[in-house]
Amino acid sequence: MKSETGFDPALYDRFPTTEERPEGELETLEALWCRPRGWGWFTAINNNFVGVYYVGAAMLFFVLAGLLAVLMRTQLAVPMNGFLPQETYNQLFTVHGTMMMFLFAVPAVEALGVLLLPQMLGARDLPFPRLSAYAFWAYLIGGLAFFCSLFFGLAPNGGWFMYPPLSSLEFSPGINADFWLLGIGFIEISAIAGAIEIIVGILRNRAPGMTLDKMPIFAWAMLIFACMIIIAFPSIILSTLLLEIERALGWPFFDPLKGGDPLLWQHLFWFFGHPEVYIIFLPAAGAMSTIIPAMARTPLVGYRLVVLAMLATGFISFGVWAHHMFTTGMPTISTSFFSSASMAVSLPAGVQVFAWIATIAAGRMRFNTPGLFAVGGLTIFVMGGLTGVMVAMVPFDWQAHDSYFIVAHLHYVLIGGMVFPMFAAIYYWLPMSSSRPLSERLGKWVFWLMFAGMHLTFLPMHLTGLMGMPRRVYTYLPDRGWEIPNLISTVGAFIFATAVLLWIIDMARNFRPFGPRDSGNVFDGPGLEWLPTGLYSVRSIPIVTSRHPLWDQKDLARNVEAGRYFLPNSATGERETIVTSTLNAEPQYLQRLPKPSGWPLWGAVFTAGLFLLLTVKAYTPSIISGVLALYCILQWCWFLDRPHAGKTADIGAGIRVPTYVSGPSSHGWWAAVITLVVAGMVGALMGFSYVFLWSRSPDQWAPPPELGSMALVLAGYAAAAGLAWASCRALRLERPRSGMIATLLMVVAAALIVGSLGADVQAWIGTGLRPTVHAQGATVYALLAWQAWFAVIVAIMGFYIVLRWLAGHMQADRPTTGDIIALFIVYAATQGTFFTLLVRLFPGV
Amino acid sequence: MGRWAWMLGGLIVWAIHFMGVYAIASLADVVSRADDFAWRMTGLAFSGVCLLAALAIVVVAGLRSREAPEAPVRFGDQLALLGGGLAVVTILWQAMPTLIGF
Repeated sequence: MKSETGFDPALYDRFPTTEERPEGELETLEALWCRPRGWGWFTAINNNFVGVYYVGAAMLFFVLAGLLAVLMRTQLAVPMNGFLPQETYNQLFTVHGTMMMFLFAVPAVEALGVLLLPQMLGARDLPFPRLSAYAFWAYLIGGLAFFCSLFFGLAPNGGWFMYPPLSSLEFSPGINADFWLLGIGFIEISAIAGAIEIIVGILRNRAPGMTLDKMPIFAWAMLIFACMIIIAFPSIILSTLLLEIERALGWPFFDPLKGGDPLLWQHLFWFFGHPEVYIIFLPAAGAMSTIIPAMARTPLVGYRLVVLAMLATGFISFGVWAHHMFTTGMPTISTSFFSSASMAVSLPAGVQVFAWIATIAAGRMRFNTPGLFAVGGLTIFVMGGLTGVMVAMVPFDWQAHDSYFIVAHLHYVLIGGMVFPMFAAIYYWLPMSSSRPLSERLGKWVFWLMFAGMHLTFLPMHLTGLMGMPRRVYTYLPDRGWEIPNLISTVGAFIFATAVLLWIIDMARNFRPFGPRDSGNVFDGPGLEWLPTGLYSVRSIPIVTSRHPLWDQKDLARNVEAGRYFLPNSATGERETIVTSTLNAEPQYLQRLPKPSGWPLWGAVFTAGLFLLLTVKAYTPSIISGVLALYCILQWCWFLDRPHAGKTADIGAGIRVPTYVSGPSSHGWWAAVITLVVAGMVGALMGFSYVFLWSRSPDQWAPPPELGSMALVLAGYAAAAGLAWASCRALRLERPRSGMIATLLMVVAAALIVGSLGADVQAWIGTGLRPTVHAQGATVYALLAWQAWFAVIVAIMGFYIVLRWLAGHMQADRPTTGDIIALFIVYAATQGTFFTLLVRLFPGV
Repeated sequence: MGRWAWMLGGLIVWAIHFMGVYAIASLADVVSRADDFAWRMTGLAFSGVCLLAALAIVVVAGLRSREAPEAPVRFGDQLALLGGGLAVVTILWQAMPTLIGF
């Protein structure tokens, strides 16, 4: 096979090794990856713990949000019911939808990835375990605070998509909407952190030989899922930011009286919101594509087609957002484009469904609990998909919009496309995680109750919707024909809740601290995750030669456990994993993994404090919390970028790889680039917002400042980018003063970013344009504020690099920190240039 | 990045097409009317160019996937072929409103 990196594939022939392994290797691994004790359970960063915490928290939010649904169904059981007051009902449906989408669905599948991917890919852990821990704690604290707002009457009440003008200060004057805006914005940061971890992990930490065509289908799904988060979630961050700024400072982005437009919110929200449905569905589909072949004991039919279908879903799902806006009066030809894309997305979904059906037909399907949940999920998802094609058609959507038909459709899609596959995944993979399977007998009860409860609840809603019942009403009048379907729905909800209760009992039984724990590969799964593992993941990292290694590679488990493959020991005496190339998974270098630390936990606590205190308008404590969060993160970063004394290490069979790599080959560089893609998406969407608001009232827009100031600003940005690049070159020269010169160049580059922004702000102030008067001012100053945020980060980075120089860490043999800061400065300069050109040259000087 | 861009070529063409036709219609809506004949024809011409690009990917990927000796390379070519094929279908489908009216 042709090499991708210069690594000789013939070296794979040295494995499995035949000589005896030295004594004490396994004990060293066990000591390095030991189980936490006491406080250590909170500071654990290993995926075996963080992954379980993550899944557990997501399921906790599922149960809590489900309880809210039961309360709502109780209220709607009969007409004119007084079980819940109207305001409470509004808060319940808002929190239910928000929690299910933001606190359960996305985090649950992300959690599944964090838990399963290292073992599935044959890695010791994902590349940034502290980032996983930070993401988890941020999510848990933010989520609990969000839920608890219900008990104080402060929960949001404008629906899970928070449309202005209902959510504007005028119509939602309390802080309820702020809880949603700041809380969700904060939680999405956690989701993005997890996505970065997953992308780099899948692309760079696969077992040697696991080329793209041998990658587990679940890993493909998680890769596409994480990329979609990177593209879609910046939109919700931006929209929540803009609405919060409008509420707090009066900048009229969404106020039509001042040149704003509430439709901007809908565009931004649904650019996130519809891909979100597929973001949730794809990992669940990946789980289905793993579980069904295992249950049918046959390879997935049409692996390539399924990979392509998932990729296509990822792309096309970004072209369907406006199908939530068919009734807003968009031009008919535009709605036609979105309508056709909405129908086209059913093609890849159909490919996956037929692949599953063909796999079931080709093999001998076992209808145990995971098998039942997989097939049940498939059935429900197809039903939801069919009504999806119906509402993709504009004339039908006009009739069904905002009725209970939509409620039925979205629950069929989400429960069939995510909840049932999630339960299938829990029943399938729990023996791997807890070494003990769940009860088959109870599991079948859970499945049938859930399946029956689901249909009883949501099937009648199609009828109530078609009979005209709007969604989100807290009660209804008698004699409209809605009584019986509503009563059936309520009975179904209670049956569904009973199933969840039984599942909780089974889970509690499973995690009891006594009894045997030795289930092994109970379902005869073909993936690496079913290899015998410890807290260090696999004993040795195998060479993968098949898509179903445990089915096709004889004696793999025995050889892996005997340490006959890569990294059977700790090559450097620390936690570590192998970094491999993106396409062919050829070993490139040995990555040091961090030890447990409290900084990610404290960083998350104080970051949560920053946002939550901001919500209740406690500005000074919020700033203090923000400073403390920054301190924790800097402490965390301080110990990064420390090379080993030995420049290479033996990773098995005499194969030596570097222990430190910088530049585009390093995992840190990849994470930085992906983070900047997130920033770039926010910037691009801000540009879209600017152009969109101009298009609403082009005649009201004032001219920009004169062009002379623009040249000054652009020159500053260009110089900053050039100096940042020169700093990286200077550091690599390995001369006595390289470190000092590189630091100086970087500090000047940072100062130029700040200075250029200052000149730009000054020029705009000089025009008399103000952010509170008109949408033009609001968007221009929002662009400047976003750039100012980058200027602040660049300034902190400048300070940090001076500290590193003073501590003697600015050296040629450890350039990664400098590279990443330079990358950030170049990005900030590029973004500043884009914003400057956009607002000065468009719509015209 | 080159291999990734090739594998995802058809889907990238679809994305460019979608953004293009949406942008053309939106621009038309500001300048005159979204369904103005001249603007519709502009959109249609753009769809034609994208369709040709997707067809080109199908042809090249089809030829390459038959010649590729190694499984990982063949896999990439096959993905490009399938993605190109899907792009052809979806671009045609999305050009329908412009072509036959709406």
